[in-house]
Amino acid sequence: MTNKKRNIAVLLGDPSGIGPELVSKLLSQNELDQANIIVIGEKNILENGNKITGNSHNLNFVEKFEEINFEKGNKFFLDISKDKNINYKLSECSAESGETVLNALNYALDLTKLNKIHAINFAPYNKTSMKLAGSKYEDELHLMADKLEVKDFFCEFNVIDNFWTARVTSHMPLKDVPNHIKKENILKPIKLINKTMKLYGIKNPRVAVQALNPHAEFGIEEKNEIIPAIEEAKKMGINADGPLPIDTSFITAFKNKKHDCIVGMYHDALQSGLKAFGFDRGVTVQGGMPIPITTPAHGTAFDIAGKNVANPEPTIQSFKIALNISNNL
Amino acid sequence: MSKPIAIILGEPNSISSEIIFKSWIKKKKFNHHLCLVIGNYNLLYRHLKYFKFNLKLKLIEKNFKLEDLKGTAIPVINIKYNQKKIFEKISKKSNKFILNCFSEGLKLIKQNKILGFINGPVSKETLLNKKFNGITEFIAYKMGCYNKVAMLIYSKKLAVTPITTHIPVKKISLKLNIEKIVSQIKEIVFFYNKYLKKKVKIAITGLNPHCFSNEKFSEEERIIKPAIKKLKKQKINISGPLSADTLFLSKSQKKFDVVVGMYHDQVLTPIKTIMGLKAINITLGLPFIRVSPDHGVAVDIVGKKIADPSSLIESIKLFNNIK
Repeated sequence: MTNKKRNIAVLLGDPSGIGPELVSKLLSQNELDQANIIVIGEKNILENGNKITGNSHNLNFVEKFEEINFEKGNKFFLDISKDKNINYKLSECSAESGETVLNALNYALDLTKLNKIHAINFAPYNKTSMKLAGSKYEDELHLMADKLEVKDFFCEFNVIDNFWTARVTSHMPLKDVPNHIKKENILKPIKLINKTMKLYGIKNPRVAVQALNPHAEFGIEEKNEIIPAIEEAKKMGINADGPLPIDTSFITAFKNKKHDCIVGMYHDALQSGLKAFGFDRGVTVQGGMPIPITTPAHGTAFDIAGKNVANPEPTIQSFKIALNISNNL
Repeated sequence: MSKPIAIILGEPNSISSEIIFKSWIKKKKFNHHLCLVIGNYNLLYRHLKYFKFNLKLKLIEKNFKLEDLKGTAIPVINIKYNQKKIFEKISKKSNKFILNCFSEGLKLIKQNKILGFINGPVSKETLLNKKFNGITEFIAYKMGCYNKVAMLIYSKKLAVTPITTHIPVKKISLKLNIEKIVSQIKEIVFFYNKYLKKKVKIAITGLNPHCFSNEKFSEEERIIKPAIKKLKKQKINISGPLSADTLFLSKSQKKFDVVVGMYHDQVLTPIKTIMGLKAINITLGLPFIRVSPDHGVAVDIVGKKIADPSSLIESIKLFNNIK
């Protein structure tokens, strides 16, 4: 850890959604003074966001990273529009919207590879628009992993009220899930969430591991795979516990504060509980990347775009997580 | 006057007696029905003294009259049982006692003496000896309606029911079929019509994350959608298949009375997360109403006087809505 401020890239998200409005609100927060901020995107998109919120910020506009001098201030806008001045329509999917998203993200990832950026915080993307713009990746996480040449395990973490979750399998048909419940596969997210949460500032995270089968009975995977994975994690010094019956795991771990995070075996075992808790106010962390990359968990919310009613709290939280981790890297 | 409801003690070495006492203290405020308890009089008496609750017990006959149930004392039908210590380990002995209590409850149902029953928590693993996966299945077997029953986890805000219950995740896909979904949903509609006098609004989930599978003939396409089509033809108010996660965001929850899920944890996780201990477990498809608190025996806090009676209270309250 150094005393020097870290360089954090802030990306505007999909211009047709609530992203520009959220970034406009984020840029007015005091927390941003704890880092060097480089907003990357097209100037008029942020201006549209500012029109919605009525906010204005004292940003230094540049067109190349080399023009940035943090002695002149800590907030820069790196304009990649090349004076194209595209008029993005609100609340619609389009190839143009997807393209500006991909341009800004790729720009930030290139700077990351050059060690010029220490964290990325981005406003919500729209998967359909990114596909329309020609992205061949199933989601932004896979794009980032590919671009940053990540060789080891990576996965998405979902964070709500300082409580984290990770899962062993993700968008996989349910009947294929049991075949993937193997000791080695379970250990990977346990190790990664433990490591990432430590960087975030939690000393010895208490990791709850969910069962696969109802009541943690009625199946063989608990005994054959999950318990051995927990034992192995313990040997590595990880504070792991379980397997917890899925249905009460959020009460035990989260409500009763017995754990700091849950590692689950499959998508809905975590997402159904998280959403019930109001995960639309949560944060997504792209785990396993060389730098922290975070975003609010909600989507582009086309239904409320342009109305200045979007809640910036998840965006601010996601920024803080990126800031904390980058300070400890 | 309407028929009374019976509360079956459940595991004597659990929090069962404690939550019955705690509910009874508040019962006047929320309950419209007469209640009686099926359990062991002596043990209940010892538990009452142990916890120092200001309540009285009253021994009643198996062929009781309604008059016998009035007053402030807890009316108890005695089932033979002996144990030395005030709380012991869960054993074969206590399990035999529980089954005798259930038999007595079912007898009262057959004699048409009670409206339905609530049972306290029991330890499934030891009680059912692996012959049955749950109490629901056990009672269904005893009543001869094994294939019809389903569990409804109910609260006023939201209720859920899983199509498959206590089976390995590996087997879920194999156990789903159109008939099962259709018949279970018809039981739900019947229950809401008959007992709650309500036209129920139902949501049904997919099986896979975001209802998406890379296979051409996913369970959504093969099983769930055709089942919905059949039900809609019968004028049942049903929407789906919907993604099991976003369905539980608060704004979506409010649109439906019941969420039908494909497996246990898909719908029990969110409802427990939302309702905590306020949800109750209703067995559908029986010729009477059977309810139980939606929690276990909680052996770790037995005798500590810290058990939360909410779920039992909600179970008793359910009968207030029965018209």
